[in-house]
Amino acid sequence: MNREPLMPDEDVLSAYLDGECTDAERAWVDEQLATSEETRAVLAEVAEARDAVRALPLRDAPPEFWARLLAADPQPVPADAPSVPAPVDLAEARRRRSPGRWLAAAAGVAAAAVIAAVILVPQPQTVTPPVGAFTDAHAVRSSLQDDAVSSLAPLAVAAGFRR
Amino acid sequence: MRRLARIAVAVGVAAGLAVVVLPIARADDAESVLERARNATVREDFSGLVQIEWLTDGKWKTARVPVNGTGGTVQVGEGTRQAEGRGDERWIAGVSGWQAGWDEPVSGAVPAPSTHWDLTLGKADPIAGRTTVVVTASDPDTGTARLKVYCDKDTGVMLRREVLDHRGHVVRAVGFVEVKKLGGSRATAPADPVTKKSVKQQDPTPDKIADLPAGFDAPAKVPGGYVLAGRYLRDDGTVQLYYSDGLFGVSVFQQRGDLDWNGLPHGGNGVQIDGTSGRGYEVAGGTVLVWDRDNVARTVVSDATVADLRAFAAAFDDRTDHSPGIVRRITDFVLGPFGWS
Repeated sequence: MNREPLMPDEDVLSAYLDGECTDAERAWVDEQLATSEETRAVLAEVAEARDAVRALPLRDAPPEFWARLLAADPQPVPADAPSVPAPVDLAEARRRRSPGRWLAAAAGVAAAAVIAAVILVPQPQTVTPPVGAFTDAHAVRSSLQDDAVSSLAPLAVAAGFRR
Repeated sequence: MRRLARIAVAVGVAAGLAVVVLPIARADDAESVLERARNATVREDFSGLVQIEWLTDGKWKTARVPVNGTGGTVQVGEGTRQAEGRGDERWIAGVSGWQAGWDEPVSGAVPAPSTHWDLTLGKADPIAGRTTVVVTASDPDTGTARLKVYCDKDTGVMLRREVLDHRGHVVRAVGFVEVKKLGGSRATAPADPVTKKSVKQQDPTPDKIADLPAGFDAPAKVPGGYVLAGRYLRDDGTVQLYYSDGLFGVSVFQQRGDLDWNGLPHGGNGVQIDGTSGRGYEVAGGTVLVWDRDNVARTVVSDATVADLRAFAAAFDDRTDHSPGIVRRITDFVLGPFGWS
């Protein structure tokens, strides 16, 4: 027989924020939020972490990231591992969590942030200065406040940059 | 005896005044000659052949281009390598046709040459058969001549400009080797000498800007006497700054991103700019230094020597804000352990 947990955990609260709860879960969370200061605090933390990750700029991962990911060896599966997972009572499992679950949650958020940063944070772009065009642009600007002939004459010469 | 003493004192005072006043007068004269030369080619009609000489890797290179001035329009070169200027407009020809190089007045004032340089005026040898005077600009600290400008005595047109290194040796020069016409009666101005249609879709002329995009710097002054005389934004996002010390102009081009070293032209030499590695080129158009710092690629161009331009670049870097932005700091913190930052 399943017993109802004492308060909604972060997964449920995250689903609540994303509008992905069932009606029953939503009613339960609303009730908890109305009566439990701790639930409100946890909800605020989850919302803050969620917003922080979403605020990161969207960028492509560096090419080598995906190459490394695809090349990585999968973790070996123990020989005695069951081929089919046994049914799990989720409510019971939640209750069995150790008292350090907040530490674990924090570590989870940090790990998520690192992964998000690796994938989302901008990689430095590279540029190739068109030095020949810049040299011409300098000559043009210089000719406006200096002698025009000596400034512009080099424009009529092949730039001299080797490709 | 007292009368003789008074006369001696008067002569001494007069001599003292002459010593003090004459160099000032000569410096003023020199500055006037330079000022007259700046726009003499717009006032005077001329034609001839100009030679460009520059020292690169210890070897002299030269190139000659025809030049022509009629009714205030200056033309240099021919065929697909030519440029034309009239008033505030500049046009550059290329293999694909003409394109605009500049189309608006410049507003930033450049400092007077005597602000940073010791100027003297003297006689010089004839150039291309013309009688000349020469303005010599010397480093006020060392007394070494760093620039010589030879001007036609009659018209004021600049006939030769020589850049000298710290030892006083010429390293770059642009000057007439043949003058076919200079002064005399002025020809009628061409009907519409610079009405040309740009062939480029992208507008190559930069826009004057009041505020810089985030992440770029533009110090108002750079040690060495340089004053910011203009800042512009090009279509590709490049910021161009123009500095002048009254005699040498320096353009600083800034692009967001790290330098793609493999994309640079071959040749050139490695240079150190205040501890940062860069690459330097000496070409017909001037001296070029390229380096990057704090995710901004910088290219500086001038007709100054490599050593002078390197000093400018280091001073420019010193005057800019190197504190990285918050996103960059977070990125460095998070990615640092992975070696990706």
